[in-house]
Amino acid sequence: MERESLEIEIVEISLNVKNSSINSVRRKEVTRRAARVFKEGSLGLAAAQGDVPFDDLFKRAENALALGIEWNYDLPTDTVYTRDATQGLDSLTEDGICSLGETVLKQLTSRNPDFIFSDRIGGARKKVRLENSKGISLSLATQETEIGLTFKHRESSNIIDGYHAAGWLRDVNTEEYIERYNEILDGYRNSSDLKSARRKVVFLNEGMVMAKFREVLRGDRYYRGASLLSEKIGEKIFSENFTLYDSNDLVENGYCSPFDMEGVKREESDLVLIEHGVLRDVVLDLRNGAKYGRKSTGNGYRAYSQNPDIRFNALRVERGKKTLDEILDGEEALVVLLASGGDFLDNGDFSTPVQLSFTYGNGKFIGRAPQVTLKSNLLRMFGEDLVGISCDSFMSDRINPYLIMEMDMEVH
Amino acid sequence: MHLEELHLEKLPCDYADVRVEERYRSNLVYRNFETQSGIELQDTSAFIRVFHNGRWFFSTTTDIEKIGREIDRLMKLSGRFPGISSPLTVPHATRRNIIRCADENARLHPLREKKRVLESYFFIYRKEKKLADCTAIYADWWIRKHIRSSKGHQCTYDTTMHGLHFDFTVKDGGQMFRSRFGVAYPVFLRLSGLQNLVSRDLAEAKRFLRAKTVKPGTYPVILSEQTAGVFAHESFGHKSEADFMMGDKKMMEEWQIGKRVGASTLSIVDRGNVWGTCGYCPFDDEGTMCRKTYLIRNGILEGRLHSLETATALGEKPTGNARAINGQFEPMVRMTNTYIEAGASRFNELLEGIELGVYVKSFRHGSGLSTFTIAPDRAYMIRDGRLAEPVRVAVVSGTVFQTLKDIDGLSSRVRLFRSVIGGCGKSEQAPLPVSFGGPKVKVRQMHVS
Repeated sequence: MERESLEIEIVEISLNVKNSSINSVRRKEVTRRAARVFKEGSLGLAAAQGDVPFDDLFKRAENALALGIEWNYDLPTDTVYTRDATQGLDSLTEDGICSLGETVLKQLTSRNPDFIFSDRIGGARKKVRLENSKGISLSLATQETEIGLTFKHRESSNIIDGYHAAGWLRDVNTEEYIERYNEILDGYRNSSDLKSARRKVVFLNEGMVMAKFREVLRGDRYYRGASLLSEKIGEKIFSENFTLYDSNDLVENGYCSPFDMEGVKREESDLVLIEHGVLRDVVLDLRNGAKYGRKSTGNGYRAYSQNPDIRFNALRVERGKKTLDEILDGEEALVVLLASGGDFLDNGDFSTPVQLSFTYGNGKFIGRAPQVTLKSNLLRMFGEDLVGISCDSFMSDRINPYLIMEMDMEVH
Repeated sequence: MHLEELHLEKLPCDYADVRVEERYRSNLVYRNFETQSGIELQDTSAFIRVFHNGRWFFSTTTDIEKIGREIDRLMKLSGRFPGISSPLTVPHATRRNIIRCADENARLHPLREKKRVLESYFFIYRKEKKLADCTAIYADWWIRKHIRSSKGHQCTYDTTMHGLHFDFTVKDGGQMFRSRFGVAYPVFLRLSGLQNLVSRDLAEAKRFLRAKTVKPGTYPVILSEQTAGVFAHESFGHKSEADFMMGDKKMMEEWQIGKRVGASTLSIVDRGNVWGTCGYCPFDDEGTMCRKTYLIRNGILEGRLHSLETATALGEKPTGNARAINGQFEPMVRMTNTYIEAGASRFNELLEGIELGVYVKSFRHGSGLSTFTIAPDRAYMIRDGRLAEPVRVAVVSGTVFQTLKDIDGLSSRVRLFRSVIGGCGKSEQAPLPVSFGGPKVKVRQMHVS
């Protein structure tokens, strides 16, 4: 019988910001443990929060073997790896986070008294230890600081008008965060007229337009024919300029997960998924790797109380050679800050309402655009309608650059 | 440690409370009919709050014996932040125990029995030749909460839910359609014997393989009971949460009680004390008794949702809407069960007169900012007053106040939607179990794309 243990320790300090001031201070200390046993084609899982001894968890995991969860893949072996990404950082304290919060709020509110700021500022120190009986011993320590503040103009009747967030695993760059925030608010104070048209569009938070890749590049969906891209590995589908990686070690950009939650530590941090428009690979965990005759790509992730499932690391787009302004070359674009509620259809068609966007030109936000709906299709957005990929990004340490794409825009 | 030993009333602060949550959860996950995960989890956690000089101090622990230590720590921390004493108004201290599921709850059914029930539906999907992918989930919970406060609250309640969920993709040639089916009940046995329902649902999903993408534009829309609930939750429910109004003069002006905000037939309610719903809570996580709160009655703004803090700040009464996703988070103003009250029309009567429109039957997700959105799972065109062909729709959206005024028909039967998957998200806390629903709702125009 093989055994695996997982322990996650989290210390978190979080400030709730209401009406531009600190409303609460919360400290959370949580230990989560999980044990898995593997025997004769079955695996058993047990997990708990708190100081529950591993011996107890292993007994419960052995009892859970009776549930008949199938185990039909090899466990990773013989890797010892320790990573402490917290070295050199100040320790996480209530005083430190409160001081950070007070500094950020003071600067934002003194320059922008016409806005109300809310939501959360916090830090979390996390230690992950994963071991198995086949010689896997992996540990990772990280400390993340995050500032995520909504803004609302005092004369607005919306709950919120916009949101700007940033997170760091290394040095916190509040200066740049506040500079970018001020630029957003300056843009908000002016308004721009727009007419329905086809326009160049830039998403400041590219998560929404990248979301479909997290479905269509899942190995299990791909190999079962349930992905829009099934059977297309090796084919050129997207723009020559579009190269996409699954990246697991970008500590300077706020993401660090050099091994997955099955104990797989892949050799390269970057897994090439799309290269110059050609589909190269999909992501797999151990179970699906074995099922489809492939190796795991190191993408088996899980909550402590679950068995692994396929999950992406950071989806990173290769940067281009020109800045956003060089690509636009004097032409105006629509820069989207807040687009919530839209979605992709199964055929790749995409539509989203945009709650807050700006007209942009000559390096600045010109004015707040009216509410619009954007429409396109995944294959076009990253294919013929991909105007360019910049070398710069909204925050200097963001993982992804600006993606500039042409889309159909309808003004409401 | 017994909570009675804490003597919270003697603490030198404006307010303090402790919430202890005992939780049991189990789940089973199958990917394409192979077991991927299965577990039972049981834990206890405590959330401790101290309110002093206008600021909250929170701590959480999974070790109940350490509650006293955490209170001491918070009291010391609160001393570092000077301010002006500002007591919370606590109109009534709840002293009640409401135990409803001692004899029927998720803990009482062995995992192997839950597995058997989930697997009893596999043959329906397995025999479907057009099935490309299927994830099957069983999930349940049992929760018992104990709340004690420095103002005398002493209350305990429990709740439970069991549910099944299938996320599947059908494929025919180059056409694909991903959809979902789910049910949830407070009584485990209700999950059995639903094969006909599952079969009909799968057959309906296959019809969408040939569906075309909707021509974008503005259409008359009929929302099903389920999607009307999402509309109520996203469009208006979130805006009724009073923490968004604290210290915001503009919002208080915009949201004056007594203002007309919708069609005269429209009433929207939030009510936590509906047994058997996902949002069931006879009292909230501060111990305030839940009640039926009209957000809109006959088109007029009548109320909003409160915690003790927001009710104190706005000079209104708490409504029992302070909720946390679990014992490691602080309560914040949240919905419970939000629904539109019934009208008097039949579905056919709502369809009449719509030459070209869209019927939104089910949803994938929704959101509620200045523009609210519903991403439909299944939608149909309406042509000449009748339901017509399935259609693929990415998003239905509208501005809240205009849409509320554009409601011009409600059917006569209200249904509440339950699910063990997903829930409501706000700030960092998601998913919070809620229910929502309503009658079928006809809206003169919404944006469909």
